[in-house]
Amino acid sequence: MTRRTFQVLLALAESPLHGYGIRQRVAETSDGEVRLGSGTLYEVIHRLTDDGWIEEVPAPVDDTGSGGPRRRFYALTNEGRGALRIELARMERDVLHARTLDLLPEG
Amino acid sequence: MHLLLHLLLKLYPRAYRERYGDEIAAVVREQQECDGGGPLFWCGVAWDHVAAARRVRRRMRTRGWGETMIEDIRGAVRSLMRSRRFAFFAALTLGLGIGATASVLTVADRVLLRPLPWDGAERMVELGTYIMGGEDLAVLSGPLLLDFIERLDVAEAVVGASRGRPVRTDLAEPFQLTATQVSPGYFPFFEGEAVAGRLLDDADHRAGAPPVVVLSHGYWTEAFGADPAAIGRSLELDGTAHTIVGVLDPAFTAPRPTFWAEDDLVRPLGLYQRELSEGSFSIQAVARLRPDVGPEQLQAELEGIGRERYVDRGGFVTGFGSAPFRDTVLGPSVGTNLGRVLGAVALLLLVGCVNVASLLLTRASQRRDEFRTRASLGATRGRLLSQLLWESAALAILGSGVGAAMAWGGVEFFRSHAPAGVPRIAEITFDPRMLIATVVLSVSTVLVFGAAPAWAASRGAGGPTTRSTHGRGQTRARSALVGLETALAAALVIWSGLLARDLVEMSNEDPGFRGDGLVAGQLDLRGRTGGASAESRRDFVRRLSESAGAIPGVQRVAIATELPYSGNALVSSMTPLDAPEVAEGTFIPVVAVDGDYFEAFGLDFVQGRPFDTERDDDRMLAVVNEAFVRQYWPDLDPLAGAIKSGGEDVDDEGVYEVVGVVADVRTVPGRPAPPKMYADYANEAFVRFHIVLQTDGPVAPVVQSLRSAVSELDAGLPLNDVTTLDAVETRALAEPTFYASIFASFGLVALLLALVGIYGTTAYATASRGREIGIRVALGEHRARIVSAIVRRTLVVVGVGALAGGSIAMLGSVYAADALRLVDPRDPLTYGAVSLLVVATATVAAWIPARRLSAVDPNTALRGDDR
Repeated sequence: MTRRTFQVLLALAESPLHGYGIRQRVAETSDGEVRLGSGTLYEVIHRLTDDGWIEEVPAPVDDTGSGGPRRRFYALTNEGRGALRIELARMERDVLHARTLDLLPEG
Repeated sequence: MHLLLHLLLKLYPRAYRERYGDEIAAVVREQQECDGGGPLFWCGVAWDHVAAARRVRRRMRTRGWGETMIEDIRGAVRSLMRSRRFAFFAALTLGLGIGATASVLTVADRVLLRPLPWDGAERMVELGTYIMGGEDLAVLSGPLLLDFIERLDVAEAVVGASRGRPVRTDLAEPFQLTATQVSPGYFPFFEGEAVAGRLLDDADHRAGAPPVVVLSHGYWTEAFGADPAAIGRSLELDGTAHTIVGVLDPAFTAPRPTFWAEDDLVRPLGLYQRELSEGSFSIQAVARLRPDVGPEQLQAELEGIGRERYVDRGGFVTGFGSAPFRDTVLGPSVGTNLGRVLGAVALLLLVGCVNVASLLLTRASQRRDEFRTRASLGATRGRLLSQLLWESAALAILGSGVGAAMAWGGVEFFRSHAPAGVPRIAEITFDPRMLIATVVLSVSTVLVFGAAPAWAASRGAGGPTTRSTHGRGQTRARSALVGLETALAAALVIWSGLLARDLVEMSNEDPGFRGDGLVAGQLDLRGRTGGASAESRRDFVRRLSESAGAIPGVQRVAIATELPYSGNALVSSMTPLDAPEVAEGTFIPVVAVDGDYFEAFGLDFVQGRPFDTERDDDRMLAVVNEAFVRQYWPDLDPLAGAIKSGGEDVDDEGVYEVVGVVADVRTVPGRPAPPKMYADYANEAFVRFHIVLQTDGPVAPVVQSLRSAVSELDAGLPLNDVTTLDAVETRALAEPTFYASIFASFGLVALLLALVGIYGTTAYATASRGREIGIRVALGEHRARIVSAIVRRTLVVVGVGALAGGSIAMLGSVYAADALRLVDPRDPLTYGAVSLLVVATATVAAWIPARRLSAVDPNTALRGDDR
């Protein structure tokens, strides 16, 4: 799983978001480290949709878009949530292992 | 939407674009509002989308058409790069075919096909007279041209021109110029323009008009340094001051014999300015007819006008007529010769096409496996075809590049090497349209013979087997192509061989004279004091011969009114007496000679003797050649013969006694010598003659001394057309050399193409039998036997092809027979030698790949697939 994919899944784990929302939340949670360009963003969305990890959901009623075309909202599917968990578990394992090697300070 | 974004979205597959396009745009917009939309921003967006689109496409496994195309082109180029030898040969073949055809078509189109470049040219006819019952259209006299100009109602315009040789007399040394002398309306007729000053107008032609000249661009540059101030100045011609009124456009083209591009001046013909003689015929006339005028109507009017002036008053002019101007311009021999070249080039193009076809066919069957594999992996036939098309296009582009270079070079070659007499050759420039036409033809060949078989080969796509099976039909088709190619190439090589052999025979043949060490110059005594009477001319010649004989290094001096190999300059009406069946007043070439003519030219006397150099009697003496005796007096003793000047009914014109019979001298290389009569200059003191010096030393100082000898006798008299007799011989052979070299290069190219074709086909045929050969080698069969078996098989095809080629050449030689002067069109030596050459070439072409293959380690051959 690439960092981009991971970050998108992580962003959607909180709540459904539209494309630009994903972008912004990814930037926030990664402290601006991961910046998704519009092309990359939708490439990832497309791929994750294709794989069934995220899906389009109806827009929440409070979405007052900028008057343009209605924005699509995406949400994690169960599979996507599972995949994110597996990835997080793997990461956790790796981090624990790194601690035993004294590579990381005890958190 | 921002244009850039719009374009960027095109990178994505359509379905993706439709699904996400609007959202992406919205995100970009929000991003833009947030970050500001500078160029740096858009660079980032572009970079991001290019990368994303690639990943999306890879994932969606579909491509935009642009990308598919680029991929196909890349694939085509890669595929050609893999088989560089094939690409090289195919492009070379195409290029040679395209280049040769385009250049010859350009020349032929300009010279033969395109109508003359003037308005109403298709209605232009040459006007002329028939002299003394002759059948060739002859020139007009001044008064007759005036009659036609004033009274020929069927014509919109009539113009005429003649050529003059005025001497410029206002220089330190007199200098002879050449001038085209034209009638009123000449420049509008041929659409001439001045580059400086003006051309002639009607006032210049009127009686009493001051004399004017128009300079050629060449003479303007040469004599006046292209100085515009030369306009209005005056130059003296034959002692009369002429005002320079303008300079003719160097691009002006009226055809010979109504204009000579190399002439120094153009001036009025003087139709209204001087008393014109009815008996002087020197004017070439052209009329532009009104539309819808039939030949009968024109003929009737010509007769009506002409007869009033001539036929009622005497018997010299016996008729009037016309001929299409195009025929006059082209001349008969240029037309047929270029026609032959055109035929040969068509054959060459055919050989090239057949060759490309056979190369492509071979390649197509080699690639059958490739296509089947790709088809079974899911490539659509559309994709396969698309790549084939791009391969063909790449080949065509390569070939066209080679072809364009060759065509350009070919046209340049034509222009610089064409013999004198190919009309309008100087105007010829490379014509891109011809290249386009030929490229189209070649590309179609590539498509039909390249893509079609491969396309057919791909049809078995996804079949149960991917093992190649090479059908008998394919093998037969290839053999047929190789046979055809060999036949055409053999025919071309035979023809070029015949022409080359003819040329060799011509240059080896004994022209009947010896030109070594001879140098000649022409003198024209018209209008000079030395030329006033026959007596003064004889006196001039005697004194000139004496001083020329005293020049150091000069061994012999001769005078002649005509040089060998220069055609018949002068014919006179003569009647050989007592000859059986000879028309009265037959026209016979007469050469007046003096001095050591026969000795200098090395002419042997068969009977009798030359003229005495010093004689006091006024007997009229003649020497005839052997052809004369054979034709007129086959059973008589020529030394007892006599030749009467003029027709039999004309009295007192004099009778020549024949004092000698001399060996024949050819007037044209390779053509039999016509009957000819040599008169003594003492009897026939012509006003124009050549002085010929024989020297054993360097030529230049002798010519220098001769010039001073001439000017000592007559300070204003120029010595013209100075040339060695060797140069005359070379010039005479220029035309056959030109055509022979064209055919030789065609033959060479055809042979090369056939070699490539045979090589390619054999290489393929043997390669496809690699496994079989491997087994045979493993079983202990001798390599030499395998090689010879392969070569033998090729030779059968080539042998049949060579035989067919011989027959084609034989059939074609019926049309080419009169191009050959000395060699029989069925010359067995040439046919035999060429067949041997073709077979030998084919053997080499088949042997190389056969040997290479049989040298392969049998294990490799067995392990690999059958390629």
